Amino acid sequence: MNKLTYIVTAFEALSSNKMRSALTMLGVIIGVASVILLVSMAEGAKQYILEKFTGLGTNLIIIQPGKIQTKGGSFPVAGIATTHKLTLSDVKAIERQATYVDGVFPMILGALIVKYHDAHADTTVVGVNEQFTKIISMMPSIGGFMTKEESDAGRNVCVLGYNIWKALFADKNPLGRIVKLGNFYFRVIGVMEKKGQAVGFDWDDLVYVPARAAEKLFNTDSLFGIRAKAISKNVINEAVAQITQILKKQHNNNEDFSVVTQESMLSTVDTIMNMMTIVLGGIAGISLLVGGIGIMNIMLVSIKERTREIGLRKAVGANKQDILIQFLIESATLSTTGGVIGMLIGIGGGFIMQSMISGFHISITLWSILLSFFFSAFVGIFFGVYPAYKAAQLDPIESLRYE
Amino acid sequence: MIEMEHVWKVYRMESVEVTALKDINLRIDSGEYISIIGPSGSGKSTLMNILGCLDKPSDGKFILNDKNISDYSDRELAHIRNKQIGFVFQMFNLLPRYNAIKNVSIPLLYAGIEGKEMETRSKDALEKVGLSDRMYHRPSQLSGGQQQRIAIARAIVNNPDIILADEPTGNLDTKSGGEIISIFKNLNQQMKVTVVLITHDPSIAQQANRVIKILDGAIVQ
Ligand SMILES: Nc1ncnc2c1ncn2[C@@H]1O[C@H](COP(=O)(O)OP(=O)(O)OP(=O)(O)O)[C@@H](O)[C@H]1O
Ligand SMILES: [Mg+2]
Repeated sequence: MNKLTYIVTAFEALSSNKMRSALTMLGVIIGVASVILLVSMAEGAKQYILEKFTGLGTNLIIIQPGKIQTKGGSFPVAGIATTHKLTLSDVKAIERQATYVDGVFPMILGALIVKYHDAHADTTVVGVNEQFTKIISMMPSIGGFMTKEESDAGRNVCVLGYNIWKALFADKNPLGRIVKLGNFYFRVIGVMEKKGQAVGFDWDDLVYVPARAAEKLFNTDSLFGIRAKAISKNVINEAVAQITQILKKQHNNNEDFSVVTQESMLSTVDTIMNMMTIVLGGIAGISLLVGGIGIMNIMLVSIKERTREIGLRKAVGANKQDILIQFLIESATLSTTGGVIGMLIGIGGGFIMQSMISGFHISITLWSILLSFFFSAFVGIFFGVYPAYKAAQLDPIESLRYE
Repeated sequence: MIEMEHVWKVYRMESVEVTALKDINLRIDSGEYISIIGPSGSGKSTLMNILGCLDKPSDGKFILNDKNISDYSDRELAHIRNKQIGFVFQMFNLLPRYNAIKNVSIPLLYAGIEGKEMETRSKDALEKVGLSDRMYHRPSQLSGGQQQRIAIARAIVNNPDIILADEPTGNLDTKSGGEIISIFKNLNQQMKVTVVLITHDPSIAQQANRVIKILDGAIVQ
């Protein structure tokens, strides 16, 4: 028999019992579809998060108060007690001394209600300096950002996030208007371009003020953190070293702060998300395995029922290998057909979910498709070997007598 | 030509031994038409299974066309069954999901004959048994006699030297049984195929060139 004949023979046998074949394939279909769907979801989530992080600008260096344990990764885990805080004088020191640094800005954060006449909105106020727009790739779409003079003097000027502008002014021009932040009055000098969701917050819900103004607003001189930008990708490690040295000197030789690059944070995120992909894919893979056991079960039943057929085929000249291949191809056909259908359902389902659920992202990867397809073919062959071997070993005389 | 010399067949089951064939000596020349009769359990089917290379003797020599096949491998025996032997069974043993022509062509699959040649040879075989008008019927749509004729077409499609038929008329009425027997006669006379036919019916047995009678595993005449 040539290969095509084997496959045709397998299809004939399987289609003579369509319902059973379909139900058997269902196990594989569900397995493959869920592998593809879950892996695509995990990949989509990963890419979404990475994209949001890299949206912060390139060559970013993150400086946080407190020393972070850097065993096996350097993701800044929340607040390990700090004796010293970061202040605006630290920012000045970096600005003046760090030659590998292209720009640096402080961050003072606080939640407040912003009011304009009767309108008000919940907002997070961020105290920064004039270098913010240079480091974070964002520009005002109306008006301008704060100047160096406004920043250094801590003037009561503010730049509104897109949503805040909409909430307070509808579509009207806000430039020069006075809004109330807490107990202070600020003049609106600009509106930031629409940026959307980031990880854990919405850029468009922020209000930007000079850090010195924020110090007064929140009655604090301790910074949430400092962000800096290396002059190029190549010197990012030198920039980190330089900043560390400068700050250590500022802090009486205490390294009570952490300097990490965005890149190292991203690689941690990447590692975590890859782990999630593998776990989800593995769980779905188990269902594929269960599908394989279903195939084995049905093949054993089918071989019992077709004992006389096997006896007849042997009587007219089939040898063991012919019978073995015939049944192996049947189980492989079941599983790969199921695999292809599951693949289409997985891909289709992913796109449907993406289009129906906002904020749901999938990323269909070639490797997940190939992997699940070949895994399903492998499952069919693996779980088909035992039944096919049993069929091949049957004695023709007894098989022909089988009732 | 078939030769059996001191062939024994003994089945061992746990403690019991069943001797199905006892010292069989037999010679069947090419082109003969032989019938084998004997009571139930006398060893007719056992003998036929050895003749058809489905089984091996426990002892003795079995020579088929000048080759001692007693020590052939399973694979070689399958090849001999495919090329030289055609089986016809009491129960027809057709595949219910295949139509007549596909059922007939099964032996050709294992002979590596496919495509157009497979089709013409299968059609020819069906023609020889008078079923050209039922080529696309399934077994369930045919009478017992017609089903057995498909089985005969399947037996001859690969041009065997020998046809072995184990009670081919056992499930048929007298009329269709007679038709089956005349097909065997024709095949024997026109195509010079050796026919070995097991039967319980003395009137069918008498139509052969030679009748072999078996009793308790031994040839008595
Ligand atoms: N696989 C086997 N294991 C054990 N004993 C067997 C086996 N096959 C056949 N026998 C025994 O061998 C003897 C001959 O059986 P066989 O089938 O050849 O008889 P038969 O002449 O064909 O009978 P029938 O006319 O009923 O078909 C019987 O006693 C039977 O029980
Ligand atoms: Mg018998």
